[in-house]
Amino acid sequence: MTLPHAHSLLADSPESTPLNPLAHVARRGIAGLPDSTTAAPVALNVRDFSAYYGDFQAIRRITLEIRANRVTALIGPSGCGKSTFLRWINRMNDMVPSARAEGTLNLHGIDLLARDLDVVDLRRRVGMVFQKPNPFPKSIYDNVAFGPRLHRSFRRAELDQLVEQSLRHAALWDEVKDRLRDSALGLSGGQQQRLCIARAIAVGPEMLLMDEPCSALDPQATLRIEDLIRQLRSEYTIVIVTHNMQQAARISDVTAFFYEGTLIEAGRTIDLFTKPGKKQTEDYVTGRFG
Amino acid sequence: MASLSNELMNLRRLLLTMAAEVEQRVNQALDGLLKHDLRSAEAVREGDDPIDQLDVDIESECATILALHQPVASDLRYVMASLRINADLEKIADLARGIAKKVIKLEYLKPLERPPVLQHIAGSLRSMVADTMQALADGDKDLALQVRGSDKNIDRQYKELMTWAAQQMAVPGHDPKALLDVIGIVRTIERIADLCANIAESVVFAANGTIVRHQPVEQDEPRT
Repeated sequence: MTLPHAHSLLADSPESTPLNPLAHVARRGIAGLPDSTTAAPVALNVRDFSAYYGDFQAIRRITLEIRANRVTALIGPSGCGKSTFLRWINRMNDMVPSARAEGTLNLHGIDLLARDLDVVDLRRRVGMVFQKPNPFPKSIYDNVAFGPRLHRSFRRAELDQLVEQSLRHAALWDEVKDRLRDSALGLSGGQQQRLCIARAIAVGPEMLLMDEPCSALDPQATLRIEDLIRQLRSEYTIVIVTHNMQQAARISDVTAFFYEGTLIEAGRTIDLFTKPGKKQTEDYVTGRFG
Repeated sequence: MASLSNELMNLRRLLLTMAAEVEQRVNQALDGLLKHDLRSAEAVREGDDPIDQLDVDIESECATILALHQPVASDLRYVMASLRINADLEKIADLARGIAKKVIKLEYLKPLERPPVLQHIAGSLRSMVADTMQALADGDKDLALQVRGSDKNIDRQYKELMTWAAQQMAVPGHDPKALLDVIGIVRTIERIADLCANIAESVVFAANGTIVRHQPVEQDEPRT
């Protein structure tokens, strides 16, 4: 099955941008309330969602609304289910034979749990950035062009423009514009991670999933990625898994705290880090957990 | 580097030491006023050095915690509240010293017949200060809300005393300097009560994150 309303990579209209055809939805949703977390439309609707590996229930009936053009941080101790949840949004558990899920996971009306879902098309809509930068052993240019080329053929000038745009969005263009044909493996860790972000946004996703994207980076590279996440927020819905409490506090609009597969609390980040509603959340964010 | 819990414990120790020192100074100043205990008044007048040192230590400890540990949730609220409470305590100590100085001066002026309400307002302040420090030590938001409410009682007594002072001005034979000093003491008592209410508000904030500062007292009851 092909996802409905799949947009052309270079589609353009007065209300859309080439890289994010759904930007106008978010703009309409937050009109007049630019800083409000709850005013944004729902991008991902999660209802009674459970996930299993064989008999083990990794996620227990969570219900959550991920808002468009907001950064949602998923926090919680190791094994709490946050990465499993992230992987289900992108259907990365399809390759795990024992993995199954139930409930509702709905991205702009698309049932992400549907058996006949076109996962290639899904991954164009939902990009993923991993813990360790994982550029292909190709040139910088080819890394960014890889995804778009998979989906359709491009004229050279068209592809050049797309690569430049993606690298600019990832705040990497100025550093690599004179060596686009050099190997991506020659970039620093922080640059490689930004390249991976450029690669993810080159296919025009609506949502970016990030699984501890800064854990392998030094503090300076981390700050650059955090700045980038703040900038990307205006065009993409971002869900980030992080073990770094301060990072969650710095960059996210909404924070969801998972524990033993259960969503304990989700709310505005400012509330969660100043007056959390649940004692378990309080204990976790203050480091008194267990 | 000490752990966050050790740093917080140290901050708490400093803050409670400061609170105890300040409470003692207020009580000594009031003893000077009501019992003509000049030795107590002199002790308060002697200086704020220990208070000033604690003020600096508490602020430094808060800065250390914020810079090195980036506290969140109840820890963050406690540090934020401590900064405010520290400033309020330091002001109370200054005001107690002001009372002590006036008490000493009064002893050398022509005695003035004091109204019973002066005794009452001093008693009310003593209780209010004690309750404030208790609420601070226990993190007791319910007692803190009571303290906030009791400020009204002091305000009422303050008004009564101002009416008395206005009447005294018309009575011939009083030493105007003595009357002015008594008025100054009463105003200072009222100001200390306000600062106790401020501390109580900070205790509530530290306890549950609610900012009651600009909220009418009537809206305080009851919270769980």
